Parts: sequence; C-alpha cells; structure tokens
Amino acid sequence: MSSSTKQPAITAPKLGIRALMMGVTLALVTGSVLVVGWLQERHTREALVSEVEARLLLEARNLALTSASAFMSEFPELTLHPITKELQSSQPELHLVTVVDRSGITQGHADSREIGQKASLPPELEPQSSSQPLKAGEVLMSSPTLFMAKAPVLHIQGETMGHAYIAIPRSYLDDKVSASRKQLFLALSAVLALAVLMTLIFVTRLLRPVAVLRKGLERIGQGDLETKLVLKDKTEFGMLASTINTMSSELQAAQDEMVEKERMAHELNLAREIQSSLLPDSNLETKGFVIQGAHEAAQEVGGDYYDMFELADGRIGFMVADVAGKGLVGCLIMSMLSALVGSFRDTYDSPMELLVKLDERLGENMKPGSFVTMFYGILDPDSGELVFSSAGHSPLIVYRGTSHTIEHYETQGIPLGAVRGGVIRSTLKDEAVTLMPGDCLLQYTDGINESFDPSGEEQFGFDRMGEVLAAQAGATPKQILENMQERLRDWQRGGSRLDDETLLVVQRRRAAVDSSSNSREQVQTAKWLHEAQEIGQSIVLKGNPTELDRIRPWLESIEFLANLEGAGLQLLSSAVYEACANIVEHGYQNDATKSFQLWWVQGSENPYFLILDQGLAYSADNWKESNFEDRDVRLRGRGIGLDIIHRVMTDVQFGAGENHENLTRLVFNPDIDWNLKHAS
Amino acid sequence: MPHNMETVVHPEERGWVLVAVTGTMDSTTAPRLLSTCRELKDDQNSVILDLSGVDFIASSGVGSLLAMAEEFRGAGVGIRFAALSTAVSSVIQLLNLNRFLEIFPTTEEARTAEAA
Repeated sequence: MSSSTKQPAITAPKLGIRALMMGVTLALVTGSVLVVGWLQERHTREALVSEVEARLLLEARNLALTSASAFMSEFPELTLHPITKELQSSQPELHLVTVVDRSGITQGHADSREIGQKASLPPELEPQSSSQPLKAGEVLMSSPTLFMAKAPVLHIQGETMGHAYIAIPRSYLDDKVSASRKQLFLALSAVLALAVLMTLIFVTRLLRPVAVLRKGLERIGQGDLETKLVLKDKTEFGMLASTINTMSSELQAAQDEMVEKERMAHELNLAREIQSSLLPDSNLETKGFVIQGAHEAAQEVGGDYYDMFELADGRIGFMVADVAGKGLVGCLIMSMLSALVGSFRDTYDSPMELLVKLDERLGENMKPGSFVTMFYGILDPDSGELVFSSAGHSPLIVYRGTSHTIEHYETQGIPLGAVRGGVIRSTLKDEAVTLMPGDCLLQYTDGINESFDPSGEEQFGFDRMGEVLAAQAGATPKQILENMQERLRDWQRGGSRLDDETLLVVQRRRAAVDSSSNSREQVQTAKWLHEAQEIGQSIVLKGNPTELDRIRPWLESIEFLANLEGAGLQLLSSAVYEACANIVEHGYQNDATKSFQLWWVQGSENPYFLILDQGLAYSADNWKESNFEDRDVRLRGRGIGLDIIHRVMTDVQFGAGENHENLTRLVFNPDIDWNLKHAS
Repeated sequence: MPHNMETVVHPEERGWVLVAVTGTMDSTTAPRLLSTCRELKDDQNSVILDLSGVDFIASSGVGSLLAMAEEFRGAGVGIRFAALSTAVSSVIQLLNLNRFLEIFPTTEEARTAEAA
C-alpha cells in the first residue's frame, strides 16, 4: 500500500462559515435598517415641517383674529399682553409670539418690556415655499434657526391693522427627529441581536454534519476505507456523505487492484529472474557441432526452457521444454525440471527412459491438469547420431545440407505429468537420426509455429520455419536464430508476443579442406567431401536394408544418369546398391538408427559417387577379381558385389573422414559400353 | 516393393518343375529361393527358373544362381534359367557368367531343349 503523508490536524478554519454567515447577516440587516431609517427620517422630517407650518399658521391666524378686536380698543396691549404670555407659557417651544401694529410697534408680547417698542424680527428670514394654503397677507418664512408664520390683523372693513408673528426654532423639529432616530436605533439593535442569534443557531445546526464528514474524510486519509460514514441528513450533506461512502468503496477496490497488480509485477520479475538464471548463457561447441539456443519471453512469462550439456560419456544432451502454466508456478516447475534433468541425465542412456523418470518425479509434485511437453536428445558427436524422444513436444525439423531438403520427425509421446501412473512409457520411443556435415536441426516451442499474424487468422507454421532454415544454409547457428526471430517479428508485425518463443539449433559444420593435415590421403578425402557438399546431390539413407530400395528412384531423379543408354542405369544402380548394401550389412549390421549419406558429384573431372558412413571400417582395398572359373567360387556364391562395382566403375577408392568416418568414392566410367557388347 | 519375392512352383511333365520368380533377389530373398530349389533337387526334380518377373538382382542373388547351378550339376539334376529380365541379364552379362548357367530366352524353349 502506498504510504500517505501525515497532514497536521486542522483544528479551526481560517474563515469559519459561521462567522461568515453572521457577518453577512449583520451587514444585510444593518444595511437594510439604515436605508429604511434614512428614508423614514426624510419622510418624518417633511411631515414634521408641514405640521409645524400648519400649526404656526393656525396660531398666527388665531392671534391675528384675537388681536383684531384688541386693536379696536384704546389699549390693545392690555389685552394682547396676557394673551401672548398665555400662549407662550402654554407652548414653551414657541420662540416668538408677538403682535405688531401698522407702524411696527410691538403691541402684544409675553415680555412686557417689549411692548411699545419698535418690533425687531429675527434676522435672515426668507419666505418659505409651502404646501399650506395661505390667505392674503399671510407669509411663511424660515431662517437657519427658525420657522415663522405671519398673519395680518384685519379690521372689520378689511383694512390691515398690524401683523401677528409666531416663530418656532428649528431645533424643535430636530429634537423630534432625533427622538424618532433613537427609537429606530433601539429597534435596529434588537433586530440585529435577534438576527445574529438566529443565524448562529441555524448555521450551527446546518453545519453539524460537516464535523461528521470531516472525521470520515480524515479516516479515509489515514487509510481506513472500511468504516462507512453514518449521516442522517436530508440536505446536500447527506448526499455528500453517500458520495463519500461510494468513493471510499471505489478507492478500496482500486487500492486492492493496485496491490494485486504490484504483487503480480513482483511475481513476474521474480519469474523472469528465475527463468533467465536457468537458461544457458552461451552456446556449446564440440567436434564439429555447434548447439545454440535463443529465448524471448512473452509479456507474461511463459514456461519455456531449454538446455544443452556435455554428458559424462562425452556425448551431448540437449532439451527443449514447455511448461503449461505461466508465471511463478511455471517457473517453479521449470526449476524442478532443470534440477531433475541435472541429476538423472548421466543415469539414463536412453532419452525415453529419462523422460519416463521425469514424468514419474514431476507427477509427484505437479498439480493435476498441469503438464510439460519436452524434447530430449542425446547426440554422439563422433558419429553424428542423435537419439531422441519427445513427450508431446513439437516435431523435430532437420535440414539436410546436401540435398537441401527439410525433414520432420514427429513422435507420439504424451506430455510429462499429463497422465499419472507411468502411462507415458507406452507412448514414448527412442528414435534416431544421423546428422551429416552441413545438416542442421531445429527444435522449438509452440510459441514459434503457433505465432499468429496480426489478423489472428494464420499461424507461422512449420513450413515457414523450414523455409527460413533452408534459406539460412551455411549461416552460423547464431545467424539462423536471429533470422528466424526476425522473420517471426515480420510475421507478427508489431503484434504482442503471447507466448514464450524458444529456438534451439544444432548444426554440424561442413567438412573443411584442411591442407595442413598430416596425411596426403586425409587431404584428398577432405577435398572429395568438400566438393560433394558444395556441388553434389545427395540422399541420406538409414542402416536398414529396405532403405536400399530408395537408391534406384534417386538415381532416376538425376538427369545425367536417367539419360544413360541401354542397361546403364540398371548397372549403375546395381553397383551403388552393392556399395551401400555393404555399409548396411557389414558396417552398420542392419542398425536402422544409423544413417549414411550418398552423393552424386559432377565436378570438373570424371563424375563420381561418394558415400560417407560411420560404420565399421572395411578393408576393401585389397580386393581381387573373383575367378568364376573356380567351381568353389561359384558354389560359395559370395563376394560378387565388389565385382559388380569394379566392373561398372572406373575406380573405387576408400578413405577416412576427419572424425573417423568412412568415405567410399566410386568413379563413373564414361567409356563403358552400356549395351555390354564386350560381353558375349 | 522391398524384399518382396514370390516363387510359384508348377510341376510339369517329365519330372520338370517350373519355378516362376518375381520381385527382388537380394540377400534376404535369395536364400529362400535357394532352399526351395534345394528341396526340389533333393526330390530329383529338374527345375526351370522363370526369371522374367525379377526386377532387381543383387550380388547375393547372382551368387545364389551360381551356387544353385553347381549344386544341381553336382547332384546330376537339371536346372535351366529362362526368360531373364533386363535386370538379371545385364548383371549376368556384366560378370560374364553366361557360360556357367544354362540360359534360355523363353520357358518354352527351356522345356523343349535337349539335355546338354
């Protein structure tokens, strides 16, 4: 699991939702109250001004009416002084209550000292526009400190006798407005306090799930993805909680998957390491043979395995195996197989017996259903003979260097561990094939032949493998392997490798002309062989008498020989037959597991047949023509084969190859009369 | 056909027996023909070998023909070789063995010829 970096616990937010909400509420409520208060105050002031004007006008009119009758008397001041004094004392807010006669002398005033004096009106008075209906002579005025109304004192006949003045200070108005404002502020404070309290309660209630969510998220952060968040909430928080629960389950699943992937990757690396440590890291060269393998692992390590080693008796063992079961399991079986082969390879002389033993031992340890296909061969580098057995593995492909032909060797064995109880023995058998100089053998796993093209419709197949092998005649095993892999890459054209690809090449080098060789005879035979391998046509025959029947058709396939007149072909095939029959019967003692090679070489000199075998050497050099005149010779009826050979051929030569093989050279006689006219 | 040789024995008039040989005469099959003929010889039957059906003869086959001729001759019993196929005649000619065997172009001629 990935390690989570530990975050310091967050105790309080820098900007709490609660404080934020309260601030907003405060601002909103204050703002709205202020706006409403301002409007209200404006309205109140206007209303108060209008009311004050009406009142002043009314008072002025009343005073004027009262003054009219007083003016009719001789001493109006006697009437007007108590009236104005009464008015002033009953309405102390009034600034000025006075009645002035036509000549500007004060006739009525609360202060008796003013009576009879020239009336002095307050300064800076300006007429005031007003909505109040004014009668003639009535005036409304104002100064920065006062409101004042002036009403005419009229005689009964309409003559103006003087004026009544009533004034009130503006501060009266301001006091009223200020009182109203105070009330507003009180109300505002109450509303604000209530709003803040309500907000606090509401937001606290609303934010209660946040603590639960936070705790849950902290738990998830600490890696606890199991515990679910329990939150009964009908708001978005409830939805959030269920989203978090879903998220944590998905995280859990993703985490599990990641852990599994990491485990698999680890296992894969381990398997790759095991596999590469088991595979040989170099080729094996001995006595003219080169054995080299190549392995390409699939993305998911498959169970391919190959190995080659020198056995205690000097022979070479090699194997290619495919374990059913990939990854670590496959690798473990592979290691087991490797160890088992290591311990038994020198115990069993027969590949089949080794496979039977491996089946027995692997069967004890493998799960039912798993199995291993395996090819095992033992090569005798002196004779070129390969004895092999195959437990359900792919066919062996052999390229014959001189005939340029491909041979497939299919076997019937069942895989190791497939069926318990030793059933495998009845399905296996040892087979043999002899590798001649220039021959090349290919073993592999099904990752090669079953490799699909990008369309997924066609497999690479045996024929293409054979083609590549044949096209690479003369190349080194390394080049053959590289070319095979290149062809395979071309075939897959970028498609992914689904299975391990393993190739193993065993090549027997062509004989080299070694002029530094000691004996002249060896140089001579090496030259024959070299020429035969370079330009000759050949056939490989087994050490079995029935194989001799293949000689005649082979000769017929050679144009030069097929065109011989008379009994030419008949006699040539008799002569070659006799030479080969000697090898089968005497050299190989009719051992069908052994092989020998026959060439027809049409070089610069007389054409010739060359036979290369690994059988017992025969001293045919001291041959003497049979004397058929001797009755005993006729009665015995033997040794006539050499007579046939010598009579058909110009020359018969024997030699030894570099690895103690026998070489027989039969030189064609161009002068022979195939119509046998010489014989009566 | 590998190592396939068939012999058919036809008793004829005057103590002659016709043995028709077909197939290959090699080291495997020739000894069988030899023993067949030896039995006939031991019963004092003269033998005509019809070799027209022999498609291949190896040295061992040639050797057995020579040995047969000598054994019959030694026992005083006649043996004639008739209608040799090219395969047989070419080898016999090559080795110049005609003079040691009584050879006839056809079985009819072998049957009717006077004793040598």
